Amino acid sequence: MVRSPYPESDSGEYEELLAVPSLELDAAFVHQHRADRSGNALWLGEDPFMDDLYVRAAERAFVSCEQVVPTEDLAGFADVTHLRISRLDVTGVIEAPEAPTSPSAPDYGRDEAFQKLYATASKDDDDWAEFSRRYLEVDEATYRAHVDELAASQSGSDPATEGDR
Amino acid sequence: MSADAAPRRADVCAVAIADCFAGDGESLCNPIGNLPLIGGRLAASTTEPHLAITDGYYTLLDNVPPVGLDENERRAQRTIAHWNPYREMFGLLWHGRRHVMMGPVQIDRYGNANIAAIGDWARPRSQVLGFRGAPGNTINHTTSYWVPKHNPRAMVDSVDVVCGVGYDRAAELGPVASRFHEIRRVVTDPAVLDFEATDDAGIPTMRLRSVHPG
Repeated sequence: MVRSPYPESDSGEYEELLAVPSLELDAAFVHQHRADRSGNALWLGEDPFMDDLYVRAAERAFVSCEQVVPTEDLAGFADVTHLRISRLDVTGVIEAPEAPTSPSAPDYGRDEAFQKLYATASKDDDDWAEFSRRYLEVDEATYRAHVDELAASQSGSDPATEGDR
Repeated sequence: MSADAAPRRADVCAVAIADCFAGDGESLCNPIGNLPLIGGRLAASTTEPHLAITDGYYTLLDNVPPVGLDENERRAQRTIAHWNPYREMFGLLWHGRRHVMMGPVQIDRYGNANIAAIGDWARPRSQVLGFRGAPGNTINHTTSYWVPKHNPRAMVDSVDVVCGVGYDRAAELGPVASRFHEIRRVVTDPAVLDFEATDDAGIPTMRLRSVHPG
């Protein structure tokens, strides 16, 4: 607890505040929509979340992205205020598109079928072993083929849910 | 529902929830859960037209769309008034112009509320939402609660984990730290409750405000 040096204007009391030491991150991993090869990156959609704060706070920061593009193309994807992450804060970049477990609007939404399969499998050792064999203990191409197969086996639209905080 | 049908319990609860926001004026009405959302939007479209509501995500709206829309309709039916990404919500709530309604799994007579876990801390019997914004909400602005099942499992002598701060704990923090604290109402399936100080200690405790008809 720390005591505010400034008195309250009405009571003259000094407010007690809780001070928390900053986390010193060894590394941060964030996902952006587009990035150039040196780590300048931009977000699309409606919320930048806290990604830019993580990369600045971390000793080393790695940006995965939907697509690596030439630097001169970056500003063409969105308003300049979306170019939120600078190469000054970034250690490495990798192009890693289409994660089924997390939405990346407007490029794609969350793969609800895959998410459900993951949640169900995590409750049972045998189901989890099967999930792991099919999606985790395989190379990238096989993993993507299996994700596509699952998507193809599903029909109908996903129910949308209201978000909350 | 046809015009002459008797109101159902849920309709009465939605109106009781809407009434929690009466007098809030120009502030963010932020109910969480389906019936609270309906009640909050009812208030915004009737008695409290200056309330701001969210789209559930990253914007504040200038209209009052129905709840439960699919993603395409949610986007199509909103009139965006303000960009409110996740990081901005904290500034807004610290400033205090917000009234949230949360759904606790346990609440006690002082309004201490639990949305995190049932049972022993080290090994809870049931893990629910987590603390989320409850501590910061209750210390920075007005909070109300919706309890869909009014029974001894929800209405308890003391909660297993305090997430939302109640009046006894607010009093312990002192007048400076608790100056924005207000638990306005608790709406349950049969009743509306609020808080009033009745003993010498002057700490507000829960009392019955009204019982729903029927």
